[in-house]
Amino acid sequence: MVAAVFRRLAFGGSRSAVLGYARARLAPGQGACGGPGWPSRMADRQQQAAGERSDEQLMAAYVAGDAAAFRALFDRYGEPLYRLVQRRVRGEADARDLVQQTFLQLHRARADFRADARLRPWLFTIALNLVREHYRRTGRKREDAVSPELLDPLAASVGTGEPAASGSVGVTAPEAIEQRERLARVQAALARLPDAQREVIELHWFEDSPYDEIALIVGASVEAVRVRAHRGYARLRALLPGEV
Amino acid sequence: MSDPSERATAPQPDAEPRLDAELSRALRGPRSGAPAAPPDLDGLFAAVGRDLQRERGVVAWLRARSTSLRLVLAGSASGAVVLAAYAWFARPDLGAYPVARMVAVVLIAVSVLAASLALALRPTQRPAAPSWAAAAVAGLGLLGLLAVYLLPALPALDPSHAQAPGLEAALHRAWPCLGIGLVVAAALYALWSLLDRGGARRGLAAAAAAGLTANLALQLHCPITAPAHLILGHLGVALVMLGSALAARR
Repeated sequence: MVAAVFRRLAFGGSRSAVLGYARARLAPGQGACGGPGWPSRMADRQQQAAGERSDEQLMAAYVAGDAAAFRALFDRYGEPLYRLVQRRVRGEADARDLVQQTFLQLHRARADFRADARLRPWLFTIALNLVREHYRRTGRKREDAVSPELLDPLAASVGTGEPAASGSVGVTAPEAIEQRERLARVQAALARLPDAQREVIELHWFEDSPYDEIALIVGASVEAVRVRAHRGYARLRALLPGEV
Repeated sequence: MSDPSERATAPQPDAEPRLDAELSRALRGPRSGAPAAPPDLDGLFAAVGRDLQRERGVVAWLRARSTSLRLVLAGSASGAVVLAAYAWFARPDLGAYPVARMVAVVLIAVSVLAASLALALRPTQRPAAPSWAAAAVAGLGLLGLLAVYLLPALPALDPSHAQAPGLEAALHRAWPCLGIGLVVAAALYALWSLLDRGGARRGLAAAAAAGLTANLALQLHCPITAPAHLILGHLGVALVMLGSALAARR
Protein backbone atom coordinates (compact mmCIF):
# COMPACT_ATOMS: atom_id res chain seq x y z
CA MET A 1 0.00 0.00 0.00
CA VAL A 2 2.85 2.32 0.90
CA ALA A 3 4.41 1.51 -2.47
CA ALA A 4 1.15 2.34 -4.20
CA VAL A 5 0.86 5.69 -2.44
CA PHE A 6 4.48 6.50 -3.20
CA ARG A 7 4.04 5.48 -6.83
CA ARG A 8 1.05 7.79 -7.16
CA LEU A 9 2.89 10.68 -5.58
CA ALA A 10 6.22 10.26 -7.30
CA PHE A 11 5.41 8.85 -10.66
CA GLY A 12 1.96 10.16 -11.26
CA GLY A 13 -1.60 9.24 -11.66
CA SER A 14 -3.75 6.25 -11.06
CA ARG A 15 -2.61 2.67 -10.99
CA SER A 16 -4.05 2.13 -14.44
CA ALA A 17 -2.23 5.18 -15.73
CA VAL A 18 1.02 3.86 -14.32
CA LEU A 19 0.27 0.42 -15.78
CA GLY A 20 -0.59 2.06 -19.07
CA TYR A 21 2.70 3.86 -18.96
CA ALA A 22 4.49 0.62 -18.19
CA ARG A 23 2.67 -1.15 -21.04
CA ALA A 24 3.56 1.65 -23.38
CA ARG A 25 7.16 1.30 -22.32
CA LEU A 26 7.09 -2.41 -22.90
CA ALA A 27 5.39 -2.12 -26.26
CA PRO A 28 5.96 1.29 -27.80
CA GLY A 29 3.42 2.20 -30.44
CA GLN A 30 1.07 -0.59 -29.37
CA GLY A 31 -1.63 1.35 -27.56
CA ALA A 32 -4.41 -0.26 -25.63
CA CYS A 33 -6.90 1.70 -27.65
CA GLY A 34 -7.18 2.59 -31.27
CA GLY A 35 -9.84 5.22 -31.54
CA PRO A 36 -9.99 8.23 -33.73
CA GLY A 37 -6.52 9.33 -32.75
CA TRP A 38 -5.08 7.06 -35.42
CA PRO A 39 -3.51 9.81 -37.55
CA SER A 40 -0.63 10.30 -35.11
CA ARG A 41 0.06 6.58 -35.20
CA MET A 42 -0.15 6.68 -38.96
CA ALA A 43 2.29 9.57 -38.93
CA ASP A 44 4.63 7.49 -36.79
CA ARG A 45 4.49 4.65 -39.27
CA GLN A 46 4.96 7.01 -42.20
CA GLN A 47 7.87 8.58 -40.39
CA GLN A 48 9.51 5.21 -39.89
CA ALA A 49 8.73 4.12 -43.43
CA ALA A 50 10.39 7.28 -44.70
CA GLY A 51 13.52 6.34 -42.81
CA GLU A 52 13.26 9.20 -40.33
CA ARG A 53 14.30 8.59 -36.79
CA SER A 54 11.47 8.21 -34.29
CA ASP A 55 11.03 10.66 -31.41
CA GLU A 56 12.43 8.10 -29.05
CA GLN A 57 15.47 7.46 -31.23
CA LEU A 58 16.09 11.19 -31.43
CA MET A 59 15.79 11.58 -27.67
CA ALA A 60 18.09 8.63 -27.08
CA ALA A 61 20.59 10.23 -29.45
CA TYR A 62 20.31 13.53 -27.57
CA VAL A 63 20.85 11.79 -24.24
CA ALA A 64 23.94 10.23 -25.80
CA GLY A 65 25.23 13.69 -26.69
CA ASP A 66 23.90 14.36 -30.21
CA ALA A 67 22.84 18.03 -30.06
CA ALA A 68 21.43 17.90 -33.59
CA ALA A 69 18.82 15.42 -32.37
CA PHE A 70 17.47 18.06 -30.00
CA ARG A 71 17.06 20.46 -32.92
CA ALA A 72 15.23 17.73 -34.84
CA LEU A 73 12.89 17.21 -31.88
CA PHE A 74 12.31 20.94 -31.68
CA ASP A 75 11.54 21.09 -35.40
CA ARG A 76 9.05 18.26 -34.94
CA TYR A 77 7.31 19.52 -31.80
CA GLY A 78 7.97 23.25 -31.56
CA GLU A 79 4.91 24.23 -33.54
CA PRO A 80 2.44 21.65 -32.13
CA LEU A 81 3.44 22.67 -28.61
CA TYR A 82 3.12 26.33 -29.49
CA ARG A 83 -0.39 25.69 -30.82
CA LEU A 84 -1.34 23.72 -27.71
CA VAL A 85 -0.06 26.42 -25.39
CA GLN A 86 -1.42 29.35 -27.36
CA ARG A 87 -4.91 27.91 -27.20
CA ARG A 88 -4.71 28.20 -23.43
CA VAL A 89 -2.77 31.35 -22.62
CA ARG A 90 -3.17 34.93 -23.61
CA GLY A 91 -0.42 36.49 -25.64
CA GLU A 92 2.31 35.31 -27.94
CA ALA A 93 5.09 36.16 -25.49
CA ASP A 94 3.63 33.89 -22.81
CA ALA A 95 3.16 31.08 -25.31
CA ARG A 96 6.73 31.39 -26.56
CA ASP A 97 8.04 31.47 -23.01
CA LEU A 98 6.11 28.34 -22.06
CA VAL A 99 7.30 26.44 -25.13
CA GLN A 100 10.85 27.54 -24.32
CA GLN A 101 10.43 26.25 -20.77
CA THR A 102 8.98 22.99 -22.07
CA PHE A 103 12.16 22.23 -23.98
CA LEU A 104 14.30 23.33 -21.04
CA GLN A 105 12.38 20.90 -18.83
CA LEU A 106 12.86 18.19 -21.42
CA HIS A 107 16.59 18.84 -21.32
CA ARG A 108 16.63 18.68 -17.52
CA ALA A 109 14.61 15.47 -17.52
CA ARG A 110 16.81 13.68 -20.06
CA ALA A 111 18.26 11.37 -17.40
CA ASP A 112 14.75 10.06 -16.71
CA PHE A 113 14.27 9.05 -20.32
CA ARG A 114 14.35 5.36 -21.17
CA ALA A 115 14.74 4.22 -24.74
CA ASP A 116 11.47 2.27 -24.64
CA ALA A 117 9.45 5.21 -23.29
CA ARG A 118 7.24 7.42 -25.48
CA LEU A 119 8.40 10.99 -25.84
CA ARG A 120 5.27 12.69 -27.19
CA PRO A 121 3.25 12.26 -23.96
CA TRP A 122 6.23 13.59 -22.03
CA LEU A 123 6.31 16.79 -24.03
CA PHE A 124 2.58 17.41 -23.87
CA THR A 125 2.48 16.65 -20.14
CA ILE A 126 5.32 19.09 -19.48
CA ALA A 127 3.62 21.79 -21.56
CA LEU A 128 0.26 21.35 -19.81
CA ASN A 129 1.88 21.33 -16.37
CA LEU A 130 3.68 24.54 -17.23
CA VAL A 131 0.44 26.11 -18.43
CA ARG A 132 -1.22 25.21 -15.12
CA GLU A 133 1.70 26.70 -13.24
CA HIS A 134 1.38 29.80 -15.39
CA TYR A 135 -2.25 30.14 -14.28
CA ARG A 136 -1.21 29.82 -10.65
CA ARG A 137 1.64 32.26 -10.98
CA THR A 138 -0.40 34.90 -12.72
CA GLY A 139 -3.39 34.34 -10.47
CA ARG A 140 -5.68 33.76 -13.42
CA LYS A 141 -8.06 30.85 -13.50
CA ARG A 142 -8.12 30.22 -17.18
CA GLU A 143 -7.43 32.33 -20.22
CA ASP A 144 -10.07 31.74 -22.77
CA ALA A 145 -9.70 34.85 -24.84
CA VAL A 146 -7.94 33.14 -27.69
CA SER A 147 -8.59 34.98 -30.88
CA PRO A 148 -10.14 32.85 -33.57
CA GLU A 149 -7.40 33.65 -36.05
CA LEU A 150 -5.00 31.77 -33.86
CA LEU A 151 -7.05 28.70 -34.55
CA ASP A 152 -8.04 29.39 -38.09
CA PRO A 153 -5.60 28.70 -40.87
CA LEU A 154 -7.85 30.64 -43.21
CA ALA A 155 -7.97 33.82 -41.22
CA ALA A 156 -4.66 35.05 -42.50
CA SER A 157 -6.07 35.25 -45.98
CA VAL A 158 -9.07 37.30 -44.98
CA GLY A 159 -8.71 40.95 -45.71
CA THR A 160 -5.18 40.59 -46.99
CA GLY A 161 -5.90 39.15 -50.36
CA GLU A 162 -3.16 36.64 -49.71
CA PRO A 163 -3.71 33.01 -50.56
CA ALA A 164 -5.04 30.97 -47.68
CA ALA A 165 -2.88 28.62 -45.72
CA SER A 166 -2.16 25.17 -47.03
CA GLY A 167 -5.20 22.97 -47.10
CA SER A 168 -7.51 25.87 -47.79
CA VAL A 169 -6.86 26.43 -51.46
CA GLY A 170 -9.91 27.66 -53.28
CA VAL A 171 -11.67 29.01 -50.21
CA THR A 172 -13.22 32.41 -50.78
CA ALA A 173 -13.13 35.27 -48.32
CA PRO A 174 -16.84 34.95 -47.28
CA GLU A 175 -16.33 31.24 -46.68
CA ALA A 176 -13.23 32.01 -44.67
CA ILE A 177 -15.11 34.57 -42.59
CA GLU A 178 -17.90 32.09 -42.01
CA GLN A 179 -15.44 29.43 -40.95
CA ARG A 180 -13.65 31.90 -38.72
CA GLU A 181 -16.90 32.79 -36.97
CA ARG A 182 -17.77 29.12 -36.62
CA LEU A 183 -14.42 28.41 -35.07
CA ALA A 184 -14.89 31.31 -32.69
CA ARG A 185 -18.20 29.81 -31.57
CA VAL A 186 -16.62 26.39 -31.13
CA GLN A 187 -13.76 27.93 -29.17
CA ALA A 188 -16.19 29.82 -26.94
CA ALA A 189 -18.07 26.57 -26.32
CA LEU A 190 -14.80 24.79 -25.53
CA ALA A 191 -14.03 27.47 -22.98
CA ARG A 192 -17.25 26.61 -21.15
CA LEU A 193 -16.25 22.99 -20.64
CA PRO A 194 -14.78 21.84 -17.33
CA ASP A 195 -10.99 21.77 -17.46
CA ALA A 196 -10.76 17.98 -17.41
CA GLN A 197 -13.07 17.63 -20.43
CA ARG A 198 -11.58 20.56 -22.30
CA GLU A 199 -8.05 19.26 -21.91
CA VAL A 200 -9.01 15.86 -23.27
CA ILE A 201 -10.91 17.31 -26.23
CA GLU A 202 -8.12 19.69 -27.11
CA LEU A 203 -5.57 16.91 -27.10
CA HIS A 204 -7.89 14.54 -28.95
CA TRP A 205 -9.28 16.95 -31.47
CA PHE A 206 -6.50 19.40 -32.18
CA GLU A 207 -3.44 17.28 -31.53
CA ASP A 208 -4.78 13.96 -32.80
CA SER A 209 -3.64 12.26 -29.63
CA PRO A 210 -5.12 8.79 -29.15
CA TYR A 211 -6.94 8.08 -25.90
CA ASP A 212 -4.19 5.92 -24.45
CA GLU A 213 -1.71 8.72 -24.98
CA ILE A 214 -4.08 11.30 -23.46
CA ALA A 215 -4.44 8.99 -20.47
CA LEU A 216 -0.69 9.16 -19.96
CA ILE A 217 -0.69 12.92 -20.34
CA VAL A 218 -3.52 13.70 -17.92
CA GLY A 219 -2.83 10.88 -15.46
CA ALA A 220 -6.15 9.09 -15.77
CA SER A 221 -7.28 5.71 -17.06
CA VAL A 222 -8.10 5.28 -20.74
CA GLU A 223 -11.70 4.59 -19.72
CA ALA A 224 -11.93 7.86 -17.79
CA VAL A 225 -10.45 9.76 -20.72
CA ARG A 226 -13.03 8.24 -23.07
CA VAL A 227 -15.80 9.27 -20.70
CA ARG A 228 -14.45 12.81 -20.42
CA ALA A 229 -14.25 13.04 -24.20
CA HIS A 230 -17.76 11.64 -24.58
CA ARG A 231 -19.18 14.08 -22.06
CA GLY A 232 -17.20 16.94 -23.51
CA TYR A 233 -18.37 16.27 -27.07
CA ALA A 234 -21.95 15.86 -25.82
CA ARG A 235 -21.73 19.17 -23.99
CA LEU A 236 -20.29 20.82 -27.09
CA ARG A 237 -23.23 19.46 -29.05
CA ALA A 238 -25.59 21.01 -26.53
CA LEU A 239 -23.70 24.32 -26.57
CA LEU A 240 -23.59 24.44 -30.36
CA PRO A 241 -27.10 23.38 -31.34
CA GLY A 242 -26.90 24.95 -34.76
CA GLU A 243 -23.49 23.55 -35.46
CA VAL A 244 -23.65 19.92 -34.49
CA MET B 1 -7.66 10.90 -11.65
CA SER B 2 -10.62 8.88 -12.78
CA ASP B 3 -13.72 8.81 -10.68
CA PRO B 4 -16.15 5.88 -10.32
CA SER B 5 -19.00 7.73 -12.03
CA GLU B 6 -16.85 8.07 -15.11
CA ARG B 7 -16.26 4.35 -15.18
CA ALA B 8 -19.95 3.62 -14.66
CA THR B 9 -21.04 5.62 -17.67
CA ALA B 10 -18.37 4.64 -20.13
CA PRO B 11 -19.63 5.23 -23.67
CA GLN B 12 -19.77 2.60 -26.32
CA PRO B 13 -16.54 2.28 -28.28
CA ASP B 14 -18.19 3.45 -31.51
CA ALA B 15 -19.56 6.65 -29.96
CA GLU B 16 -16.45 8.75 -30.45
CA PRO B 17 -16.12 8.41 -34.22
CA ARG B 18 -19.71 9.60 -34.58
CA LEU B 19 -19.10 12.61 -32.33
CA ASP B 20 -15.85 13.14 -34.09
CA ALA B 21 -17.62 13.31 -37.43
CA GLU B 22 -20.21 15.71 -36.04
CA LEU B 23 -17.62 18.10 -34.76
CA SER B 24 -15.78 17.77 -38.03
CA ARG B 25 -18.91 18.87 -39.88
CA ALA B 26 -19.26 21.81 -37.51
CA LEU B 27 -15.76 22.92 -38.34
CA ARG B 28 -16.11 21.93 -42.01
CA GLY B 29 -12.42 21.80 -42.45
CA PRO B 30 -9.35 19.82 -41.68
CA ARG B 31 -8.47 19.07 -38.11
CA SER B 32 -6.07 21.86 -37.68
CA GLY B 33 -5.34 24.35 -34.99
CA ALA B 34 -2.46 25.85 -36.88
CA PRO B 35 -1.92 29.50 -36.05
CA ALA B 36 -2.46 31.93 -38.89
CA ALA B 37 1.09 33.14 -38.44
CA PRO B 38 3.37 30.26 -37.49
CA PRO B 39 5.72 31.07 -34.65
CA ASP B 40 9.27 32.11 -35.43
CA LEU B 41 10.69 28.69 -34.69
CA ASP B 42 14.28 29.67 -35.41
CA GLY B 43 14.05 32.55 -32.94
CA LEU B 44 12.37 30.31 -30.42
CA PHE B 45 15.04 27.64 -30.82
CA ALA B 46 17.74 30.28 -30.36
CA ALA B 47 16.10 31.25 -27.05
CA VAL B 48 15.98 27.58 -26.02
CA GLY B 49 19.65 27.31 -26.98
CA ARG B 50 20.50 30.26 -24.72
CA ASP B 51 18.65 28.54 -21.87
CA LEU B 52 20.63 25.36 -22.44
CA GLN B 53 23.89 27.31 -22.51
CA ARG B 54 23.10 28.54 -19.02
CA GLU B 55 22.62 24.98 -17.78
CA ARG B 56 26.12 24.64 -16.43
CA GLY B 57 27.66 24.17 -13.03
CA VAL B 58 26.85 22.09 -9.97
CA VAL B 59 23.19 23.11 -9.73
CA ALA B 60 22.50 22.22 -13.35
CA TRP B 61 24.31 18.93 -12.85
CA LEU B 62 22.19 18.12 -9.78
CA ARG B 63 18.92 19.00 -11.53
CA ALA B 64 19.83 16.85 -14.48
CA ARG B 65 20.18 13.71 -12.36
CA SER B 66 17.42 11.13 -12.69
CA THR B 67 14.42 11.46 -10.40
CA SER B 68 15.38 8.28 -8.54
CA LEU B 69 18.84 9.63 -7.83
CA ARG B 70 17.48 13.03 -6.79
CA LEU B 71 15.14 11.29 -4.34
CA VAL B 72 18.04 9.25 -2.94
CA LEU B 73 20.17 12.39 -2.55
CA ALA B 74 17.36 14.30 -0.84
CA GLY B 75 16.56 11.37 1.46
CA SER B 76 20.24 10.95 2.27
CA ALA B 77 20.48 14.56 3.40
CA SER B 78 17.59 13.98 5.81
CA GLY B 79 19.11 10.72 6.97
CA ALA B 80 22.46 12.39 7.59
CA VAL B 81 20.87 15.05 9.82
CA VAL B 82 18.93 12.48 11.83
CA LEU B 83 21.96 10.18 12.16
CA ALA B 84 24.11 13.09 13.31
CA ALA B 85 21.53 13.96 15.99
CA TYR B 86 21.50 10.34 17.12
CA ALA B 87 25.26 9.76 17.01
CA TRP B 88 26.59 13.02 18.46
CA PHE B 89 23.74 14.86 20.11
CA ALA B 90 21.53 12.09 21.46
CA ARG B 91 19.24 12.94 24.37
CA PRO B 92 20.54 11.78 27.75
CA ASP B 93 17.34 9.90 28.55
CA LEU B 94 17.26 7.97 25.25
CA GLY B 95 17.53 4.60 27.03
CA ALA B 96 14.62 5.39 29.34
CA TYR B 97 12.37 7.05 26.75
CA PRO B 98 9.25 4.99 25.90
CA VAL B 99 9.91 3.00 22.74
CA ALA B 100 6.31 3.35 21.56
CA ARG B 101 6.48 7.16 21.56
CA MET B 102 9.79 7.17 19.75
CA VAL B 103 8.55 4.69 17.15
CA ALA B 104 5.39 6.78 16.64
CA VAL B 105 7.38 9.94 15.98
CA VAL B 106 9.84 8.13 13.69
CA LEU B 107 7.04 6.47 11.68
CA ILE B 108 5.09 9.70 11.26
CA ALA B 109 8.17 11.71 10.31
CA VAL B 110 9.59 9.13 7.91
CA SER B 111 6.30 8.44 6.10
CA VAL B 112 5.46 12.12 5.72
CA LEU B 113 9.04 12.83 4.69
CA ALA B 114 8.91 10.18 1.94
CA ALA B 115 5.58 11.42 0.62
CA SER B 116 6.64 15.07 0.78
CA LEU B 117 9.92 14.46 -1.00
CA ALA B 118 8.14 12.49 -3.71
CA LEU B 119 5.88 15.50 -4.26
CA ALA B 120 8.69 18.03 -3.97
CA LEU B 121 10.85 16.31 -6.59
CA ARG B 122 8.08 15.08 -8.84
CA PRO B 123 9.26 15.42 -12.45
CA THR B 124 7.31 17.75 -14.72
CA GLN B 125 6.90 15.11 -17.40
CA ARG B 126 4.52 13.25 -15.08
CA PRO B 127 0.92 14.39 -14.67
CA ALA B 128 0.70 16.94 -11.87
CA ALA B 129 -0.31 15.70 -8.43
CA PRO B 130 -3.65 17.04 -7.16
CA SER B 131 -3.23 20.56 -5.82
CA TRP B 132 -4.36 19.46 -2.37
CA ALA B 133 -1.85 16.60 -2.07
CA ALA B 134 1.00 18.57 -0.48
CA ALA B 135 -1.35 20.29 1.98
CA ALA B 136 -2.94 16.96 2.91
CA VAL B 137 0.42 15.27 3.52
CA ALA B 138 1.67 18.22 5.58
CA GLY B 139 -1.58 18.35 7.56
CA LEU B 140 -1.45 14.64 8.35
CA GLY B 141 2.13 14.97 9.52
CA LEU B 142 1.32 17.92 11.77
CA LEU B 143 -1.72 16.21 13.29
CA GLY B 144 0.19 13.00 13.89
CA LEU B 145 3.02 14.78 15.66
CA LEU B 146 0.57 16.93 17.64
CA ALA B 147 -1.16 13.78 18.89
CA VAL B 148 2.15 12.37 20.18
CA TYR B 149 3.32 15.68 21.61
CA LEU B 150 0.09 16.10 23.59
CA LEU B 151 0.81 12.92 25.56
CA PRO B 152 1.55 13.63 29.25
CA ALA B 153 5.09 14.70 30.12
CA LEU B 154 7.40 11.98 31.39
CA PRO B 155 9.22 12.34 34.71
CA ALA B 156 12.53 14.07 34.01
CA LEU B 157 15.68 12.06 34.75
CA ASP B 158 17.53 15.31 35.34
CA PRO B 159 15.78 18.19 37.16
CA SER B 160 17.16 20.62 34.57
CA HIS B 161 15.04 18.88 31.92
CA ALA B 162 11.80 19.53 33.79
CA GLN B 163 9.53 22.18 32.35
CA ALA B 164 8.49 24.92 34.76
CA PRO B 165 4.77 25.80 34.62
CA GLY B 166 3.56 28.83 32.71
CA LEU B 167 3.71 30.07 29.14
CA GLU B 168 6.67 32.35 29.72
CA ALA B 169 8.81 29.49 31.00
CA ALA B 170 7.71 27.31 28.10
CA LEU B 171 8.60 30.02 25.60
CA HIS B 172 11.96 30.56 27.24
CA ARG B 173 12.85 26.87 26.93
CA ALA B 174 11.40 26.59 23.42
CA TRP B 175 13.60 29.22 21.73
CA PRO B 176 16.79 27.13 21.48
CA CYS B 177 14.96 24.14 19.98
CA LEU B 178 13.01 26.39 17.62
CA GLY B 179 16.19 28.15 16.50
CA ILE B 180 18.24 25.00 15.96
CA GLY B 181 15.32 23.28 14.26
CA LEU B 182 14.77 26.19 11.89
CA VAL B 183 18.45 26.32 10.93
CA VAL B 184 18.41 22.59 10.15
CA ALA B 185 15.12 22.80 8.26
CA ALA B 186 16.16 25.86 6.25
CA ALA B 187 19.44 24.21 5.28
CA LEU B 188 17.61 21.10 4.07
CA TYR B 189 15.07 23.21 2.21
CA ALA B 190 17.87 25.10 0.46
CA LEU B 191 19.63 21.86 -0.43
CA TRP B 192 16.46 20.34 -1.86
CA SER B 193 15.75 23.43 -3.91
CA LEU B 194 19.02 22.72 -5.70
CA LEU B 195 17.56 19.38 -6.77
CA ASP B 196 14.30 20.92 -7.99
CA ARG B 197 14.10 21.18 -11.78
CA GLY B 198 11.57 24.00 -11.56
CA GLY B 199 8.44 24.30 -13.64
CA ALA B 200 6.10 23.98 -10.66
CA ARG B 201 5.80 25.38 -7.18
CA ARG B 202 6.63 22.59 -4.78
CA GLY B 203 7.66 24.70 -1.80
CA LEU B 204 4.93 23.44 0.53
CA ALA B 205 5.97 19.80 0.15
CA ALA B 206 9.65 20.62 0.60
CA ALA B 207 8.84 22.75 3.66
CA ALA B 208 6.85 19.91 5.19
CA ALA B 209 9.69 17.46 4.57
CA ALA B 210 12.25 19.85 6.09
CA GLY B 211 10.06 20.59 9.11
CA LEU B 212 9.43 16.91 9.77
CA THR B 213 13.14 16.05 9.50
CA ALA B 214 13.96 18.79 12.00
CA ASN B 215 11.30 17.42 14.36
CA LEU B 216 12.81 13.96 14.15
CA ALA B 217 16.29 15.32 14.87
CA LEU B 218 14.98 17.35 17.84
CA GLN B 219 13.11 14.32 19.13
CA LEU B 220 16.41 12.40 19.24
CA HIS B 221 18.24 15.28 20.86
CA CYS B 222 15.97 17.16 23.27
CA PRO B 223 15.08 15.52 26.63
CA ILE B 224 12.19 17.86 27.51
CA THR B 225 8.86 16.05 27.21
CA ALA B 226 6.41 18.74 28.31
CA PRO B 227 3.64 19.21 25.69
CA ALA B 228 4.02 23.01 25.72
CA HIS B 229 7.71 22.73 24.88
CA LEU B 230 7.20 20.12 22.18
CA ILE B 231 4.46 22.13 20.50
CA LEU B 232 6.24 25.48 20.66
CA GLY B 233 9.84 24.39 20.17
CA HIS B 234 9.54 21.32 17.96
CA LEU B 235 6.25 21.42 16.09
CA GLY B 236 6.76 25.18 15.76
CA VAL B 237 9.63 24.49 13.34
CA ALA B 238 7.30 22.71 10.93
CA LEU B 239 4.64 25.39 11.37
CA VAL B 240 7.09 28.21 10.63
CA MET B 241 8.45 26.38 7.57
CA LEU B 242 4.95 25.71 6.21
CA GLY B 243 3.83 29.26 6.98
CA SER B 244 6.85 30.66 5.13
CA ALA B 245 6.18 28.42 2.14
CA LEU B 246 2.54 29.51 2.05
CA ALA B 247 3.53 33.18 2.34
CA ALA B 248 6.01 32.77 -0.51
CA ARG B 249 3.26 31.42 -2.77
CA ARG B 250 1.20 34.59 -2.44
